Amino acid sequence: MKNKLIILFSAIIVMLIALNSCQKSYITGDIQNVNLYSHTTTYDYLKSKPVFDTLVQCIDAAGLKDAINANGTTFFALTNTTIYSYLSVRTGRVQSTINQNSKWGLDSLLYYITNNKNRTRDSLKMYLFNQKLTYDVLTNTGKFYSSGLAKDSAVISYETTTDPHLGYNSNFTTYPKVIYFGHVFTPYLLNNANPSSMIPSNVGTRVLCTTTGINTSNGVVHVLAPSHILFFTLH
Amino acid sequence: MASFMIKCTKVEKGYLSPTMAYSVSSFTAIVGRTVYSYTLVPDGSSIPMKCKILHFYNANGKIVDSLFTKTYPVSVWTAAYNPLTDVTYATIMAKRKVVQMAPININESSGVIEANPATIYLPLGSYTIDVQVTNVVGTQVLKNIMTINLVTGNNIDTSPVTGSYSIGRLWANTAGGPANGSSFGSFNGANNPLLIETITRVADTPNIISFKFLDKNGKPFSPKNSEIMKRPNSGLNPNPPFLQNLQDYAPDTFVATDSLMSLKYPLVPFPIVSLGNGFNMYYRIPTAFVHIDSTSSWTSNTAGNYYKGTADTHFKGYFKDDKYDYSIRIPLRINVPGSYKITLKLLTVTHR
Repeated sequence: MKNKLIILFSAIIVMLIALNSCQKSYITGDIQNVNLYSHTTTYDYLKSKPVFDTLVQCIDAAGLKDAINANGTTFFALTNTTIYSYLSVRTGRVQSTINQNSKWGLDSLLYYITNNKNRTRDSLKMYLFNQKLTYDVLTNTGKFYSSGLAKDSAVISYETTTDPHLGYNSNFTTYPKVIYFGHVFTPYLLNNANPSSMIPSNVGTRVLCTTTGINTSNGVVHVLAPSHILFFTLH
Repeated sequence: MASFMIKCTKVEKGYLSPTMAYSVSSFTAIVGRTVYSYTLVPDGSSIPMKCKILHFYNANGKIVDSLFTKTYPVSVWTAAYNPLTDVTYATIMAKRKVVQMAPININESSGVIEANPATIYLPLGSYTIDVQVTNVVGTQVLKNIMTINLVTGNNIDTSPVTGSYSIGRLWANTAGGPANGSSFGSFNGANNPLLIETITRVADTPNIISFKFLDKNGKPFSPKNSEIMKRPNSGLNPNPPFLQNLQDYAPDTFVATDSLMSLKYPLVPFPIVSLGNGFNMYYRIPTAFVHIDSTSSWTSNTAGNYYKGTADTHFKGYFKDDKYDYSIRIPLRINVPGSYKITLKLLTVTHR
C-alpha cells in the first residue's frame, strides 16, 4: 500500500513538472500569428524591420515599391547580410583587378540599381512573383515559377526535411517542412522522382527560407537565409 | 573512547619533504629572452615555502656565484599590458621601467627559475644550482637540483622560425596576381633564393630596428618616396585596414627615410601580439620603381643557394614594365632587446 502511494505521488509530481514545463512557448513550439502583418503592405512590413533596411534602399532606388505592393504577390526578402555579402564579393573583384584600395560599397550598388547598370534593377525582380505562393500552393517536389524578371523562373518547394538542424527528430512521425528558393543554371526536369531537394550543385543552387509565410495586406513574404548572396552571386 | 583518543593525537606542525624536485630537472634558456623553468614539486611540503638559490656551479663543479649575482638593467612591467589599447611606444613605455636585476632568479614561493634578457651577458654553458627551501618546519638544501643550460638562439626570428619569405607579383596597384604567379618570378618557402637577408646587432641599446631594401645592384628603395609600401587588407571594412607592417606595429616611432625604415620598439618579443596571421610584414614595390626578373618555377631550395641573375638556370628574362608590382612577405619577430640593422637584398629586382 505504502509503495503504491509513493508511485502515485511520484507520478503526480512528474505530471505537474511536465505540465508546468510545457507551458513555455519555446518548448511547445508556439505558433506565431501569421496574420500579424495582414494590415501592412509588403513594403511597409520590410520597412518596419531593421534587418531589411538595406533592401528597402535598393527597392527605393529601383522604384519597385508599387510592384512589391501589388495585390497577390510573393516577395522573397533579402536580409542586409545577403546584400553585404554581395558588396564584399564585388569589392574583392575590383580590389584584385582594378585597384587595391577600391571599395564597391552600397553607394555603388544603389547607383547601379538606379541606372539599371548590368540590368541590376531588373534583376531585383527575380525575388518577386505575381502570385501568392502560400503553403497550400507550394509542393514537396517543387515547381518552376516565373519571376518578375523576364525569362527567369525559380524552383520553389515546400518540402519535408530530415535535417536535425531544421527541427527533424527521429522520435516524431511528422516531418518538419521548409521552403526552399532555388535557381538552376542548366535545364532540370522536376518530377516526384527528381524533386527540388535533389538538384545537384552543378545544376542549380537553393536557398533555405528562414522565416516564411508572412501574410501582408497584399501578398506573402518569405525571408531568405543570410547565407544567400544577392543575385545568386558566386564568390 | 578509543576513537576519541586517536582524534586527539598531536599533529606535527608541518612537513618539509626530503624528496622535493623539479618536474623537469633541466632548464634550457636561450640567452636574451625571458624564460621560465618548470615548477618545483613540493611533494606535500607545507606552504608557504621560501626558495632561494644558494650556489651556482659551472660544468666543472666550481662555484661561480659571482657571475650570477651581478645585476644588469632589465626592463619590466609595472602595470598590466593590454594589447588592444597599449599600441604605441609611449603607452607601453609608460607601463615599463628599468630595474637592476640578476640575470637568473628564483620565484620565492613556487621555486620556478626565471631567466630574463640579461642572460645575454652570461657565458654560455651548463650550470647547476643548489636551492634552499625554508618552511614552517625548517630549512633544507636541495643539492644540484636543477641544471640550467644557457644556449644561444636567434636574436631575431625570421625564416624559417616565424614563417618564410615569400616573393611574388601582383597586378599593378591591385590585390590580385596573375594566374601563373606561382610559376614565374616567385618563391614562397624556406631558404628563399630570391633575396639575401643580413641581420646585424649593432648595440645593446636602444631598442631600435632599421630595415633596408636593396635592389640586386645594392641601390636602396626609398620608403619615404613610397617606393616600398604597405598593402591594404582586402574587403569592405577590413580590420586591421592594412596587412601587417612595421609602421602599424609602431605607429608613433616609425620613420621612413630615403634609404630605410626604422622604428623604436618598447619590448621583446616584438611584435608581442600579432595584428594578423603570425608575424609577417607585407610590402609591395610599385611597378613604377622596379624591373622584375622572371624565373622558372622554383619550389624548394637549399640553404646558401641564391639566384645568380642572368647566369642562373632559372633565369627566364624580364617581366614587362608597368604591369606588375613586386610583393614581399617578411617573417619577423625580435626576441632580444638591442639595436638591429636588417638588409634585404632583392635579387630579382632592379630599381628604376
